[in-house]
Amino acid sequence: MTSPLKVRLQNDSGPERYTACLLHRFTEQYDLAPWIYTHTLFVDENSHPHSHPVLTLNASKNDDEAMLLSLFIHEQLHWFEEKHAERRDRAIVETKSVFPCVPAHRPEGAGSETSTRLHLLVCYLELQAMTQLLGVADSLKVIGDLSRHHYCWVYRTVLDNPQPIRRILLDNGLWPEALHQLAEP
Amino acid sequence: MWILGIAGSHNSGVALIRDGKVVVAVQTERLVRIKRQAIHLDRMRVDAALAIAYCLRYAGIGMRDLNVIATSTPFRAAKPGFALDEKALAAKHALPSFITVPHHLAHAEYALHYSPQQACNVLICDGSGTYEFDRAGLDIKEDEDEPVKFLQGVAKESISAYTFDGGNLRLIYRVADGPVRCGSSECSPSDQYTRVKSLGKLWEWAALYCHGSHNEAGKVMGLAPYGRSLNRTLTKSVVLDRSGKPHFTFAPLMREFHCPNLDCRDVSGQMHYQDVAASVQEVTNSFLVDLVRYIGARHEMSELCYAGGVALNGVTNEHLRRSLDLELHMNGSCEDNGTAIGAALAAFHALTGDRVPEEASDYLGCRYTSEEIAQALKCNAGTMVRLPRLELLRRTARALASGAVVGWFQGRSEFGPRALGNRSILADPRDPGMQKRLNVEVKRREAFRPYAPVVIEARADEFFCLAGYASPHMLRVVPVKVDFLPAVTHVDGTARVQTVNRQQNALLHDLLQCFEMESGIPVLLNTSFNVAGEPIVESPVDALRSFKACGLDVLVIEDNWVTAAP
Repeated sequence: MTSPLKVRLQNDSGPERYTACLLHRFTEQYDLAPWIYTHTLFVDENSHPHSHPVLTLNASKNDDEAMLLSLFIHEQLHWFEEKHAERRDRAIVETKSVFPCVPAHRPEGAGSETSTRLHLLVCYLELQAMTQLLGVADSLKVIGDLSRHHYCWVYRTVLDNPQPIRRILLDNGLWPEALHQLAEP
Repeated sequence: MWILGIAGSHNSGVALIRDGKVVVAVQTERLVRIKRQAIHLDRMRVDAALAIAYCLRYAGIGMRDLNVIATSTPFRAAKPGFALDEKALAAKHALPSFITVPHHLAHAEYALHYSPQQACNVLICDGSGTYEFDRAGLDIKEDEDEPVKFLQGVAKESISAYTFDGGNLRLIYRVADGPVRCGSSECSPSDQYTRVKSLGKLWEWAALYCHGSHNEAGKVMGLAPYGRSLNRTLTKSVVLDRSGKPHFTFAPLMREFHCPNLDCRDVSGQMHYQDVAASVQEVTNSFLVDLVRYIGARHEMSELCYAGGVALNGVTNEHLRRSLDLELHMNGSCEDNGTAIGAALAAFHALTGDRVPEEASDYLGCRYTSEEIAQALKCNAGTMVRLPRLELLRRTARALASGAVVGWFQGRSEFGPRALGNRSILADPRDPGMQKRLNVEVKRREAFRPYAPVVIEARADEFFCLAGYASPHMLRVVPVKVDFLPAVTHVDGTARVQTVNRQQNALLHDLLQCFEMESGIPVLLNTSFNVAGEPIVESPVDALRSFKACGLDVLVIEDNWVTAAP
């Protein structure tokens, strides 16, 4: 089976090759197609993960496949949000009515107030995607671990108070196709 | 190559396979909403047409796309009348050719399809199949390997065994006992059981005797643990002698048992019927162990594919497995509806020489679109909210843990008699009052009837004595290890367990995980989504109707959380 991902390695090191190998395997192991919004990736062991201009991951999660998958999905969801930039921006504004005060600084926030609000949307969808892919127990464990590592307030809110975020996403048409049907064919 | 398979039987069904793989299958009863609706192949009627249309629509093809129609029937009409009598119509609609398949061979191909395709024996045991005098007229002939045959007159096959060497399936044993054409006006109902002699017919007799309908063998199984196996007439009614010949002694049953429950009353607590049921269960267990041991002595195998109506008996299945240390390969539609798939597979093998095995699965029906579901739910006066997966699962788990009874409608419907989590009613197995509540208020059925658990496969051995083997089709009845699952523990301390892993049914698996977070156990009570006497729901409209009729607390239909009007 041909992988739908085009993965380029910045340093072609062993850890980067292993990360690439894991990513290709994920595409065989899980039905990732509905969650892939960009097919081109960089693996750069010296970089922080980010989504744009090219989705880039590092090699720091080679010993935790669930966490790497979550990271991959998280960055893909930024591409989903970017595709619907106008709706995303409206949704970010709407979060103010439900969450008037949000932390801006890391590790509780995402670096700025706007980024924290954006991450409420992304991390909520990340949890939904992970639940679909890994099941409830594993996805809650991953998101729980993340909530103690970075974007802590964001992930905690996604876990503890998800309904308003869902409402905002639905109201603004930011609901990925993959979440429309529950059961597998 | 598209092949349509039709099981023309008292428990009929239609299946569609493509290049040897099953695409879709449905029991006729699900569509016409009459339990155990038969298809009689002598003429095309609406029941058959509905089931055929269902399969073609799912696949997006028409009759013209079919290469072959394969049929299997235990009835007299071996050739489908609508294929033969209306040639002009057949030509107009470009009907494909028909291939008729021996009934037990269709059962065998179905069982084999979902096995690892290693050398094994295949056992078929049911009420009755193909008439011996029809066999020569069928399009597919069985390969034989010097079979032991016990044929009485013009009887119908009731036990067949085959050996499979990894490529060829050959008949090694056959029983067809009981001299005449019954089921017609020629004989009375009681004559049927003295003339057509088989283990399946013994269960039909017991079902008629204890519950007023020969279709209620499942109830007899549920009643048996309350009784004692003391009656020698019954326990000696089916015996295998040293030569492998079965002796069916049914005539004394008609003389000795005078109180058939013809008005179908609830026989809970009535020792007479309990003892009849226990005796029939006992004789079945011992006869089948003797039979499999006899077959194994001639064709030694540690693995057995097993089908036919008798194979639905989870108590006997477990008895066989434990007594003979066998690995049993079974899929959910052991009974006649499975021969729709089996007939199509037999035709495919006959035409191509190939078999294309698949992972065992019973989720072979249709799934319904969001639009179809929304349309159905317009008729509901209660509240409705669409939820994402995690919230839906958590909310459902919380409701279940607080005592709610939930109708659960997801994905493709099951093919076969068991609801395996796509058309199910779910409840908390820890609640000691739940069995009674379900029997009285929801399913409206007899008080003695037990309910089954579904458990995460990886955790199953913590709660049930499964000896490391999975039970994905609810075909094993095993002891319960713990004392805190009263709603799914039968009076003898057993349960008919369904195990599930994420590959088989991700949503049900995840719901069990959520329920464990609420309750501490990854086990739920799982019963079919229907009321007594009604087939399991198929469509969203059926689900909504049963939801209201059953008085369920919540209906979860795909991602819709639905409550009834107050």
